[in-house]
Amino acid sequence: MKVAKRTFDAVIVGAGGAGMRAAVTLAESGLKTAVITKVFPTRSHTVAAQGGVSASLGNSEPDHWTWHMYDTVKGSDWLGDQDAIEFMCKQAPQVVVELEHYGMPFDRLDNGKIYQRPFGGHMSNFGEKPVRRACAAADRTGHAMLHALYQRNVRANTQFFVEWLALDLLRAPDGRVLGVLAMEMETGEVTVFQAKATLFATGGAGRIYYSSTNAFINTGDGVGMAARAGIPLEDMEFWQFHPTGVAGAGVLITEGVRGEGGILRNSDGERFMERYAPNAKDLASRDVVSRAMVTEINEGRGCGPAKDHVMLDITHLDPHTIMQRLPGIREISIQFAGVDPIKAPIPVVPTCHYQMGGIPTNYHGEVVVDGASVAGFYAAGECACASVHGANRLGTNSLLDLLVFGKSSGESMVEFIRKEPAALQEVPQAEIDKSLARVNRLNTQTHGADVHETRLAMQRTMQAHAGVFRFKDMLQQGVDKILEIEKQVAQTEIKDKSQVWNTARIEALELDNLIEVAKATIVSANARTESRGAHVRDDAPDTAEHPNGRDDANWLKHSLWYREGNRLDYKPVKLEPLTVESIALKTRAY
Amino acid sequence: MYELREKMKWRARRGLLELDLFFTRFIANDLDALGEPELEKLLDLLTCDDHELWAMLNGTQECEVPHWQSTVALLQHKAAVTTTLAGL
Repeated sequence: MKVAKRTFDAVIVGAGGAGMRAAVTLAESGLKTAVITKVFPTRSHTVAAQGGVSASLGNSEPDHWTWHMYDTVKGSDWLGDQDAIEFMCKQAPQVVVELEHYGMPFDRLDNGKIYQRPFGGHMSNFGEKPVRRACAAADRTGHAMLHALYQRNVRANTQFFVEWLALDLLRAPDGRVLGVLAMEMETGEVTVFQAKATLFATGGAGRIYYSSTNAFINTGDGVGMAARAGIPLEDMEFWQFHPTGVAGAGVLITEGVRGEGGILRNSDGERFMERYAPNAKDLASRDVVSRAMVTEINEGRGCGPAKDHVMLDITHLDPHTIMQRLPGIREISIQFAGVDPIKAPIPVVPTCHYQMGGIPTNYHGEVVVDGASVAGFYAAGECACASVHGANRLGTNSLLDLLVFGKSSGESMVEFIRKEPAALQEVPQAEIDKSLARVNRLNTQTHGADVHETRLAMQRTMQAHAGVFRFKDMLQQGVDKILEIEKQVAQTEIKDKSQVWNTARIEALELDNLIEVAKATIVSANARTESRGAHVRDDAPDTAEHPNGRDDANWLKHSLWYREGNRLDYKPVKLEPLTVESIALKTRAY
Repeated sequence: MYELREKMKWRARRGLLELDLFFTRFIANDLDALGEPELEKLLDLLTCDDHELWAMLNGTQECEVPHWQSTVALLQHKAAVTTTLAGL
């Protein structure tokens, strides 16, 4: 089947912070640049980022990029690549100032410099004491960043293709990436977007979990497309969780609620944290609280019909205290849990927040497979694994990742494109047909699986079997279940076969991407028999030989999951930075 | 009408989870009852930025655009929560 074709110097999939930062560099270099996006750019999930972006500007007190680097390596539990981490931390002040020059309305000090606030894990002098490093625009940093970048792109004549869904990566027989096939939602028409260089900046895939803080658009489209195109996925077992998201909804309930006296209770009404943390109780650290909650649920003391959550109780607090100090929480609870926390406890569960792994890249944003760059293919942001977050991301490094690696990808692409011949290589028809077959299957499938039910089965399986606290038997069972669910995903059926604004079809296509991420996650997690960062296993506990359950002798390495054969491989962590001494391994303790 | 409804469903996919959840409820229960003029107004409202839209819908910010006010009021009324959401 012949499809329409559009040609560009560069095609970017995704218009969040990373995609738009790369687009600025490409378009301002005079290159013909297209950005394909499912939703209007300023409605990308970057909009939800509140905390800020870190940079060692030292505007309020002394700071240095090497201290930021130390915090990031330590946060990553030494799984981050130290060359990429040095690059990111050293670049941070420059990309933040550039963003300011693009019009980002950062909060300011009286002297006019960018205001910086303290943030968990940000320390001066290699872990000595807290430092103010986070730059923010009130609590709408991501929102302001998107607007600044979008305006800059409009000025630079970047071409946006809004409400287009990228379907698949298109590759030449030699592996070079030639662009993507994409569908316009308004018409259902499919078009080849061919380019000399293609960037994936499609965000994370937090919707693989039943309880997720991620917006519905976070379906791992780039990660799924990469996997189908034969690109391995790196470190997908590492996901950051927050202990208290509203059960069944995912909206976060801040730790401040427990600070005000909130108590976690199981189905017996017991204040179970007294058993797990006799001193700190409900105010124990995030990982301790999350593990206790999961243990209660797994041992049958969860609440609700499915016994899949616990309760956060503030009914004993003075209603005036709740109204005055926690008004937002009361509103969230009423809106999304259907309960007024003055009268009844809030159902909560550890909730997925951020994807540390992704498409393997170097710090230039080039996708790297078997030690070599894939010609014409780049990735940046949450869908990519540079790897700067390793086993756990440091707060405010997510927005920094978007800026630094969005920019470096853009610069690498400019350099690559300028060396390329003017004529574009022919896209093999078989590549196009392979992708079209996926759409055609949906259009003709009968007696198939329901998309919503199948997605729900995947999400519940991932939550129960590969959540914040992991168990050997549960992981293995989870792998088997997910591989069964994969068979249903291959047979999803949509009742509505229309071409125009067919959201059912879009959701089915997104599920094709989610299942790849789910497989990569649970297979990688099952295989990694240590605890490290956000990957915590019951059978890899804290011992004298292996503090925090970490096993550097066997597991100081990156996982690589290949879709073909559902197999794993590994590659070493880059412990050598670019210019400074390596940050030596030690126990991660705060 | 069908196309407008489908378009609205997609445009209700937002960057903020809170809005996704809010509109999921509305779409499930109330979208089919909207006439074409209401749908057009709703689509216009959906051009708002996420934070601004959420603030209007949860009542922490007044809607200052006169021709959106009836739509905001309708959404607030229809999407009032009574039960726990699950499986979204």
